[in-house]
Amino acid sequence: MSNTIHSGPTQEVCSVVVGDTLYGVPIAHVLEILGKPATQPVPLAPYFVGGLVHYRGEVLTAVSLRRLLGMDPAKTAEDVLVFENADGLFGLFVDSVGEVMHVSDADHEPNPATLEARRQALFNGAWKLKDRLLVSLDPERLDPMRLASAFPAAA
Amino acid sequence: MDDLTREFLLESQEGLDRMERCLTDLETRPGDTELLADIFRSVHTIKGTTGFLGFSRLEALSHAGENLLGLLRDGKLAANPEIVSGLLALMDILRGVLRSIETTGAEGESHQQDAAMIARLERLQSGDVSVAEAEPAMAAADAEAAHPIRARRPRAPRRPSRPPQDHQSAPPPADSGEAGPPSDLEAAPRDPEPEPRSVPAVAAASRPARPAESSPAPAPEPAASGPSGTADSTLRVDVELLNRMMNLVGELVLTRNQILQATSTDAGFATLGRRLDMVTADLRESVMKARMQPVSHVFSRFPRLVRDLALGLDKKVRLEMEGQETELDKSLLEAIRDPLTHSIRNSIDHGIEMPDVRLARGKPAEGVVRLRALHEGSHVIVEVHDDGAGMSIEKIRQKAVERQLVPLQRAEQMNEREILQLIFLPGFSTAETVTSVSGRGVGMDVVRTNVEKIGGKVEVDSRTGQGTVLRLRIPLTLAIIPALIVRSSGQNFALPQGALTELVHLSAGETDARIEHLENAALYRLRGRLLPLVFLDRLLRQSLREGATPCDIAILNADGRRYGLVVDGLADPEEIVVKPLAAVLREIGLYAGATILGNGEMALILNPGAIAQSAGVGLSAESEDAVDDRRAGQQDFLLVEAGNRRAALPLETVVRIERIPRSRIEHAGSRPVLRFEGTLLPLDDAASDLVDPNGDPEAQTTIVVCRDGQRHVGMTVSQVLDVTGGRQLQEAGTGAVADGITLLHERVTAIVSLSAIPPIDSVAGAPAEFSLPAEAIQ
Repeated sequence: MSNTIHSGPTQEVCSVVVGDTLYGVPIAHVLEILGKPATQPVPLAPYFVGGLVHYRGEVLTAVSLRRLLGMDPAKTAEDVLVFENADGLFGLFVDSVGEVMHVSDADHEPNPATLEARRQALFNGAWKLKDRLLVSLDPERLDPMRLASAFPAAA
Repeated sequence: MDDLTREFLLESQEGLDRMERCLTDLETRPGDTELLADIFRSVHTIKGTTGFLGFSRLEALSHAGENLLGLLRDGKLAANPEIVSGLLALMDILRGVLRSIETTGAEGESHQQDAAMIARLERLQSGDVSVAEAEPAMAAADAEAAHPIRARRPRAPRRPSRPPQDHQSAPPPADSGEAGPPSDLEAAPRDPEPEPRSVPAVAAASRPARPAESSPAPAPEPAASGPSGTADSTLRVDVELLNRMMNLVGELVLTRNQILQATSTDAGFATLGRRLDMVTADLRESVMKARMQPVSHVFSRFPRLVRDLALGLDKKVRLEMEGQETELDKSLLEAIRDPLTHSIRNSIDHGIEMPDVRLARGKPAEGVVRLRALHEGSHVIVEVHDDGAGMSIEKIRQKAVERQLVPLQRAEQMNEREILQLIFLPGFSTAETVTSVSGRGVGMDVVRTNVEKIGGKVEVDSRTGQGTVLRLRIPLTLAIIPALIVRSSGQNFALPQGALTELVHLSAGETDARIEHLENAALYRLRGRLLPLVFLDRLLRQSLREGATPCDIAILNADGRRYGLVVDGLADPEEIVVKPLAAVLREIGLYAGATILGNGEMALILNPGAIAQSAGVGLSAESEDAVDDRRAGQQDFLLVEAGNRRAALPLETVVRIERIPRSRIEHAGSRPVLRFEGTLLPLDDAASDLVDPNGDPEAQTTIVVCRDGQRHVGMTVSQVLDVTGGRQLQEAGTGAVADGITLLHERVTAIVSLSAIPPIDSVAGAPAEFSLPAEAIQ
């Protein structure tokens, strides 16, 4: 099944939902998906840290996409994507993880200039699907170390 | 770097470590042939491998060392301090070259240094101690003086046929007809090299002896590869791999817990689950054991350190080591290396006095630094003990005020123990002058920081004129620490047991009454002393508790800061595996890590020291409060039964309570005394009545060790009853405060006057020296 309009070089992205928006993370970056893991909040942590999750004997710091985007906290348990960075591993809280999609590079467009500044920094353009947009997320931009220096005291 | 070279580096470093240990031992046991053979083997192994790998510098150096060691091993030369110094210097150069190979892959170049070293070793071979350290040129100047120098000459050409080519300026022997010192003659045949040498006439003269001499030389060489008897059954493992295994085992433990829960209802699964449980526990233990190493790995370098320092400072110091086989986690072992080195330096530089000063004080000229390691529960204690001058409380107080580390007024109120703690403040140093060894104001604070970083503790005890003991309490493993799980706003937090001194529970009705406020500062009255309180939920800006709810106060002592941490509740104590936090969370500063609890939940590990700092709990808060409540007439007492009477001992003077056999009570003159950890403890008069030569030798008695000013005294009691607060009593009519009695449990009780116990020296007529055996007093 293909969601793309054009043919050409494609890649697999893992689709995730936060709020009403559909996001896509290139599957090559995703180490593992944790389904609704137990989480531990960290008092006094930077606002974008959603909490700690347990992953294979390690304690991962997980970034909350909702908090990053200034949205209300999720009402139900969230899924976590595990990524690797220079510091080790980190997680990303999303409302839910959907299917894996094949998207074509030709369908990708950069962020519109009208997009709000914070989202400009977080999003990596979007893929045009048949009926909706799939916002591209680049795990490198979600690295907690990077976020800490990029948005020191935001929100 | 290829595997062969890496293997060689590891092996050589181990060889040098072993050699260093042996060399310092050699000084005390110069004739020990086994030691010498061991050292010889280490150097020989290095030489053998280097030749093979083409490291010519190492080869030339180790070759020179081997020659000297050969003489020592065969008893042709006796080890003396100059020779040991020379060999130690050689080791340092060898280490330097090894390091260079490790970092750059090449030996680096330093012909001059090598040539000087080789020349020095050659001079030592001639047994000519007097000029051993002198420049070759100087030695030549007074060449006409003595035999040894002449004898040394023919040696010059022998060794350096190796890399330092420039050294090969062979002067022909002048004294072939004369039979030089025996050491010289026999040195020649010791050389195992088959290399063609310009063997001088002097060697020819001794030729008949040679075949016999050289044959024993190769004999021990098979043994050089021999010590691998144990090596065959051991394996080098990357520490990283062990860390990874430890992590996985931790994971397995959690999975096991969940399986046990999930399968508890099924009988078949339950059996399997139990087996899994056992295997997991065994596996965990094995992995932990694999990380353990004996402390001798760290101790082994101290004989050298002590020797060099003592020589440099012109002091006489003997190092005694105990409990070397005590095992500690590898990473912890690394972590205590620096603090221990620091403490030993301090002991030798500041502690041990110059020999003449020591003699004048009636101590032996040779000072003793004792290094002791022992297990105590889940901790390893490492003690650095010296019998030096001790620390002067007054000097520390003065210095601390001078350096503005504490205000004058506060310093005057501090007690002895608190004053001693001041040496751990950054920027504190009592050294009059900065020496190369210590006195730069970095020292004890670094020791403390390093030890606390690994969850340990440092304690110091010092008696003026008698010495100083520094005790490092180190947890057995870094990976697993005992912790108390506390709850705040529905969240778990782990509190390391190391900082925890006691727990206080307040029921809902008590909180308002028992927690007092001074403006914004919440305080709790613990045995009459005001203790600052830190509310964990407020500190972490969690949702606050509403109304009067029960709470628990964890009384903590971190970095010398005492405070109470108020939490909502307590869960069970647990051994936790410390997991590091990501950098963004480490920056918060209040957490030492995170952990996964047995039930699978996570908990943040609190850092008690950082919490104290962030809440502004000061070092001295305690002592100020102590003064306050003394003024208020509230004091805590240890209620005891002595004889048939009840008596009170001020709690603040009580050091510890000991059970001892009565037979241990001895007499100095008419005074009963107790020998205690190398010190003499004067006892109260009643102790004499307990001594009954015909009585049961096993009969025990209780001794309360108390502090009376600067000294310690012992009080024999038949029973310890209680710790309780006492009120002052006023004389009817005058209103004067009654001295020596207090009201305990609504009964008038006499307070024991510790100063009534006379000091030992006033009766025995001799100063109670630290080193004076009790027999000498009797």
